[in-house]
Amino acid sequence: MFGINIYKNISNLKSNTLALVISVCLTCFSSSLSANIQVFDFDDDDLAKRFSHLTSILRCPKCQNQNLTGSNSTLSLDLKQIVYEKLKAGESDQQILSFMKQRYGDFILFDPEFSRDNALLWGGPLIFFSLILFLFMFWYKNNRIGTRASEDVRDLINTRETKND
Amino acid sequence: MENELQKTRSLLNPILTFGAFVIAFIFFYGLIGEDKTELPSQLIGQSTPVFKVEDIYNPSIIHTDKEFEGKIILVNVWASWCPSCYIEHPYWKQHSKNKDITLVGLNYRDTKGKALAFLRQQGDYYQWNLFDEKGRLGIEFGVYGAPETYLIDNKGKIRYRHVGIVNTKVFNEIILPLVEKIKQGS
Repeated sequence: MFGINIYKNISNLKSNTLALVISVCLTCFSSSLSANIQVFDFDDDDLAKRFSHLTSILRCPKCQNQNLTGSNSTLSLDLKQIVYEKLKAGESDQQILSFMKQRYGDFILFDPEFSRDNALLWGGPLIFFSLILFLFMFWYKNNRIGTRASEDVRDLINTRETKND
Repeated sequence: MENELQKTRSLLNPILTFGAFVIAFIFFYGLIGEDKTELPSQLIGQSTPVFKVEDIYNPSIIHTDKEFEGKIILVNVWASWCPSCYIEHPYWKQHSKNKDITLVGLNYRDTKGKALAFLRQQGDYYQWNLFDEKGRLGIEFGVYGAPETYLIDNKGKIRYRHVGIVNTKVFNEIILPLVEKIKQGS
């Protein structure tokens, strides 16, 4: 009886120690995970708004379908840091966007601007749609049942008239 | 006469429809066939970014873009964390034998210890190595991954950017012809 109690005590002690070790480990690991999240401090609300706007319209070059806000890739973190530093240094939104465009091209913008290089991309669907509309109208004009019927009637009258003559 | 006209009309319609399909096919095939993960470089035809970066072995040595003047440079962006760099590295042993080219390494977002271990284990075929710990020089070049390789002519203009491994095929079929062009002065 006594022996079992001791055994129970020891096993309780063991599980307590184990729990402690696990929690310490988890704390350590969680801190190393959270180290990947950057915090950008702004004294000025206006700057903070511009920061969140810029990082939402800039695309992460590495991850394609994410903006800088949503991406935690190292490149995005670097680019966010650059946006932060440039805002702090007093650069305008336009200056920051052109800095990014010079290095990563129109791709970096989620909403690319219209230019000579991408004119076909913008205009292409319009041209294609017009072409389809044109073809449809061409087809419709030639296949109208009404036109055909009236033409047939006219032909009939013509032949009768020539017969009567 | 009228019959003939109708005949040509009825022939024209399927031809036009077929034509429209062909155009649509080419358009969409072009969209699908393109590798969307590879971005065109903005810096082709532009000057090398101005920079000041320390040497990977010796922090007191500062490398600048001025060192590129008059040389045909290949800047290879690499890192010890980049798996493809281990595959690419043996190719540099071959490529670096070419005397027309100065091979410069750009160690991108790496820690010094791991980078030096990489060079010790894999061999150092670079003329010199830029240590870009924070990745800022990489961003100046428009780097978005590793490995990437930039060909810079003797006037300091960036002529070509290759994303991925520069194997023998890429080196012989793309880079060497460009180097010949540069040597001839165009």
